[in-house]
Amino acid sequence: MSERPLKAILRAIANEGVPPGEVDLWPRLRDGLTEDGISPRHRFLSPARMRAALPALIVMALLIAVLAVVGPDKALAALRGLLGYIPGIGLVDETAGLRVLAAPVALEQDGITVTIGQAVLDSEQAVIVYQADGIPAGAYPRQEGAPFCNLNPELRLPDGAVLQIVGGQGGGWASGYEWRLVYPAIPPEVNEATLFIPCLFDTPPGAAPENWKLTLYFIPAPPDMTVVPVLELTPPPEAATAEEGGAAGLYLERVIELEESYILAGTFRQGEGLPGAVVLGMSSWPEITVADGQPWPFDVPSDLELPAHEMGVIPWAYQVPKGFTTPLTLTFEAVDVEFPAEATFQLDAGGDPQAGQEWALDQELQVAGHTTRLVSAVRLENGYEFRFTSDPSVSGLSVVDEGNAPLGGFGGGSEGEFTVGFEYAPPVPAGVLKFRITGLLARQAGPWTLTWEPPGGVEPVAATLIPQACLTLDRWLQAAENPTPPPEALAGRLIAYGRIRDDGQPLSPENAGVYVVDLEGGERQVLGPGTWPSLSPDGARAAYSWTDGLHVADLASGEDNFLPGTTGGDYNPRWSPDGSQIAFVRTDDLNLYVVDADNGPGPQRVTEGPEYELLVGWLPDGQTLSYAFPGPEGMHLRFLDRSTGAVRDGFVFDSKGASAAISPDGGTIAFVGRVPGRMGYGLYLARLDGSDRRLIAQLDDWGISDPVWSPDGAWLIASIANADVLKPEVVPALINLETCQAIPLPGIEGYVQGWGP
Amino acid sequence: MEEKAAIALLKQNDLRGLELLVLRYQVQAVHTAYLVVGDRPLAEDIVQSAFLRAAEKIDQFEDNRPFGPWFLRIVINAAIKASSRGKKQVSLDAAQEQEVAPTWLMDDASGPEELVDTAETRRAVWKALQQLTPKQRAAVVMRYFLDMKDREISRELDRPLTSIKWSIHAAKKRLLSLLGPRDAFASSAPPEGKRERGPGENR
Repeated sequence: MSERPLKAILRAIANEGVPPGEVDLWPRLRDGLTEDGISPRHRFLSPARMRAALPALIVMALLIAVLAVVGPDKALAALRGLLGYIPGIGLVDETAGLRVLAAPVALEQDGITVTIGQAVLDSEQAVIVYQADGIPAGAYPRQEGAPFCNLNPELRLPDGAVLQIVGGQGGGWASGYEWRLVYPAIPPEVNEATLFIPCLFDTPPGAAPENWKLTLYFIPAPPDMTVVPVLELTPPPEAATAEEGGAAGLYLERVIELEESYILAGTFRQGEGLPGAVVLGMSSWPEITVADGQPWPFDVPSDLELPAHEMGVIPWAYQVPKGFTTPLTLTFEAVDVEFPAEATFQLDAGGDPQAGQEWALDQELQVAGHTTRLVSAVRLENGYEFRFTSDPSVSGLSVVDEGNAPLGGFGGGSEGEFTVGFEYAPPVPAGVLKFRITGLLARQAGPWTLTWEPPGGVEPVAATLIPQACLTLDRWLQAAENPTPPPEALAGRLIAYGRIRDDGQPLSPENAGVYVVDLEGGERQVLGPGTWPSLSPDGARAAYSWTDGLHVADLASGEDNFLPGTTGGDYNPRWSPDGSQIAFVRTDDLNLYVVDADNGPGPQRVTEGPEYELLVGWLPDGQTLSYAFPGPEGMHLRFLDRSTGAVRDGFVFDSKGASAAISPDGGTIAFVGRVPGRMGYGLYLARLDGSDRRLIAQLDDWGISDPVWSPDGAWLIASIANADVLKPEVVPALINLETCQAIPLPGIEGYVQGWGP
Repeated sequence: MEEKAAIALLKQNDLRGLELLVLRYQVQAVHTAYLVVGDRPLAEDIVQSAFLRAAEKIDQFEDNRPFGPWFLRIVINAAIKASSRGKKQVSLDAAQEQEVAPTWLMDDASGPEELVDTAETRRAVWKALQQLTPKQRAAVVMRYFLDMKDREISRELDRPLTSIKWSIHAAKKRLLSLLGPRDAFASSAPPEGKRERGPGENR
């Protein structure tokens, strides 16, 4: 999508919503300042919000009063010492006591249940955890662009005041969602409020019950309520700002000890080590190790709101399970820094440059100590774009147009190769154009480390350790560098969705389709455009999805048949073991269907739940369908016996999709799930009840997906891609399940979807 | 008065400096906040607070740096905090956290080049924005409205670069489908957030 039209549209939207001529903040801002200068008299809320914010203002006033008496440093420590942590709620200020829900509140209408299970009120905010579940698939819009609810729940107080949310987070699953809503503080004398939910999120008008009202009663928190103390660590003297001459590094500022884990929170401070430069953030996730150097799992707490950025101060918070051998070491390998720069370049565009005209410039520039090359320039419709290269640590430049006033700038790229561009109001300037480089964005290598020992030592407890993968990124990189041919014993045909037209462009529906590859000889048979291909058990036919519905193609004759009764939203066809039927997902009603593969009876719906069923496949008995559906805890694996209609549960795995496959003997499932302690996913094997789980592959932040079993169940094919690059190449990999030997499959640019005889 | 002079005045606690900065940046800042939070009064509140915060921290500000980007970062972060989820997240978060972006989705040239600025388009874009999480919305605003680079956005939003690229391209994909997709896949696309990703669609 072109960026410039989108910018114009965003600008138009903003102009419509907030006409520039009506923006006049200064009078109200000025009135809020003291006559002596900047110190605020109050926060500058619009009148409508002022009332709701009064308690917060009172807290602010108290804070200022305390500061005046004991001085800022001590006051900070004293106040911070009253902070507590409640899992799922976040940090709470116990200064003025806490209030909680007198009892959970639930309301059910038309089979949909809205539940307020938890609420905690302190002197600064009210946090309410709200869940809706049982929303049928039919209550969601069927088409993109359909109207839907995006109104926020509001908190109504008995005196008529209405509080709007000021923060929060949450997520959804197929039939519901949960939110942690943060409102301004409720005055201490108010012990009742109504949560008004105008409509359920994402549902179109009238599709689900609306105007939900749940009355909440608040009581003082019981004395035995668990509020985990937050240990405030005094920053060492060197943990100062750059201006104060502090040292660069990682600083631990808060520790929260939970039953089975610690939450560590702190900052990276750039200190005075990088004069004139500004650290913009950490370059990657940290590595956390324990005494023996082994990596230790960590997670990012979702209910801990990190303080806003300050210049050169980057906050962080991680949760680590207990049970490690001290000390714990947190390491960031590098930070991203914007360095001040002073360099110039120019382009002689001539008197009448035309859109599309290019200039090879090839100028070497010394920018903030980095040799940077201005490679070329191109005249765009409304401006110019310049292409640069530099060493891989550099990822961008800040450039200003010295002679003209562009409407805006744009740019981007990966390390060592990037562009900078400008857009102008017509007429686009011509002639000699002069530009000044004012900054350079580069990665500054550390490492930055922090070592921590828990107070009083740690009693080893059962902890969730990082599962050790059989196939690691290192092993995969070695295999990719020195590929070995697939064993001769491996035979059969693979069906893939991948490139069928070599147009030099990245893989897309324009150039990709369905084809079959012979594993031994490498011969390729292209079927044509299509998605979601699946090979029949005898390897003679292929089913695939297309815009009008499902098709079945005979590989020998090339005959292609539309499956009557299927529609454009039908996808993921899977052959039954005897090849007589095809199961698929229909997105119109979000259910599983089965259709006769030989143009017999039309599709028959086999599930009716509100859940969104994602088809995994058939079990060898030919009667049982396995599927997964998303729920609050993750993906729920289930099995449906079509002969009896009985449904049995498998297990729940931590994932947001159903990239999974059942082994040919029906005893094992291969699935992609999140790896505890890693910020990524891995390929697992497990029995159908979740037991005997084994992590086959974990490739750090590289992607792995779409497991496909070999007919003998000894190998898997999975699609591997480097997520770090802008345009990752997808490589199918053969993985031996016994040895974890990995073999890249040459000649297939795309995703293998099936393996037949 | 030049911006540098305004900052110098502000550092001396002179309100005339702040006034100039407010007059110069208030529209862009309110527009930025408005695109993230979708609510004009809230956007104005955010920007007023951000001006106050900037004034309080002006001593930490280096004179030779442009004020605008520094200030707008404050605005963006405050807007994200103030904004709630306007819609539940399923598909885009899944995209951020798992698996890999397809190459065609990463291709800037894969969308409609002749995007026409009509009232209908604006409504569709606005609606599409509301379907994103606050951070995703902020990423789009930072990328396309403020012209920030992906890596800068990554740093500001404290998310991996890959996630930012994903967010932006997933948002583009959603915009694409709302604005009249050319490819047949998107035209037959089931409701976003209610579907599994598949080959050729949004893997």
